[in-house]
Amino acid sequence: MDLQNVNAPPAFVAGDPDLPVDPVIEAYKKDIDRSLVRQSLRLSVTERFEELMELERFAEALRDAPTVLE
Amino acid sequence: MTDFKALLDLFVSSGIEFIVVGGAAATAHGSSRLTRDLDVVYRRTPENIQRLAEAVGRHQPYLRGAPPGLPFHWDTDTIRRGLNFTLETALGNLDLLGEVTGGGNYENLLPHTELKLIFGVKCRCLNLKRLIEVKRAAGRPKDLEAIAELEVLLEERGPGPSG
Repeated sequence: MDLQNVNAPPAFVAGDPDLPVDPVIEAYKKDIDRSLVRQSLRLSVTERFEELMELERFAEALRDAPTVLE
Repeated sequence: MTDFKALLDLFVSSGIEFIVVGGAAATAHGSSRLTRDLDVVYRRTPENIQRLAEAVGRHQPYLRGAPPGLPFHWDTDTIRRGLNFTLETALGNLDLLGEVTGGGNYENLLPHTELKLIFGVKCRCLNLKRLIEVKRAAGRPKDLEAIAELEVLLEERGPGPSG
C-alpha cells in the first residue's frame, strides 16, 4: 500500500470542496479537447445555442442525404 | 429539430416558472455536446401547472415514443397526476420534470440557479456545479463523458458564475 497516498488530502475538482475527484471521470477527462472547451467559453450563451441548433440541422441534413449513383 | 428559441420564448412569455437543466443547461455553460431536447424542471404550484397546460397545450404535445392514437390529453389534471413528462411538440422535444434524481424539485434547485440571457430572454439555468452534482447522482454510465466535459468547463472557467 502506498502510505503517501493514504495520508494525502482528498483531491477536489477545481478546488471546490463539495466536488471530490472521481477517478473514473478523471479518466474520461483525458480525452476532452480543452481547445474546444476554451473556444466555447468565448461564445455568448445565445451563440452556443445557435451553434447547437446548427449542428442539429447539419445532422438532419446528413441523415436525409440521398445516396447518388456515380 | 428542437426549436430552443421558440420553446424558451414560450415559457418566458407565458410566465412559467422553470429551470433549464440537462443538456441544454450544459450548452448554456459551454458544453459542445449535441442535445436534442429541452429539459426543464417546472414549479408544481396550481398556477404554474395551469400556465404550463395552456402554453404547451397550444403546440400539440404528445408522449414521445408512444404509439400514435393513445388517449393522451394535455391538461392540468394530467400534469397534476403525473410528475415527469417526455413530450414531443410542434416546437420540438420537451422534457418537463417535476423533480430530478439527486436534485429534487423546483424549490430545491432554485438556490443553485443563475439567470442566463438566451436569445434575448432571461432564463433560469441550473448552475454548473449543481449540474455536475445532479449528473453524478443520476449515476448513468452514458453521462460519464458529459460529466468529464462539465468538470473541464468548471476548471477552465474558474469559480463564479459563467458567461
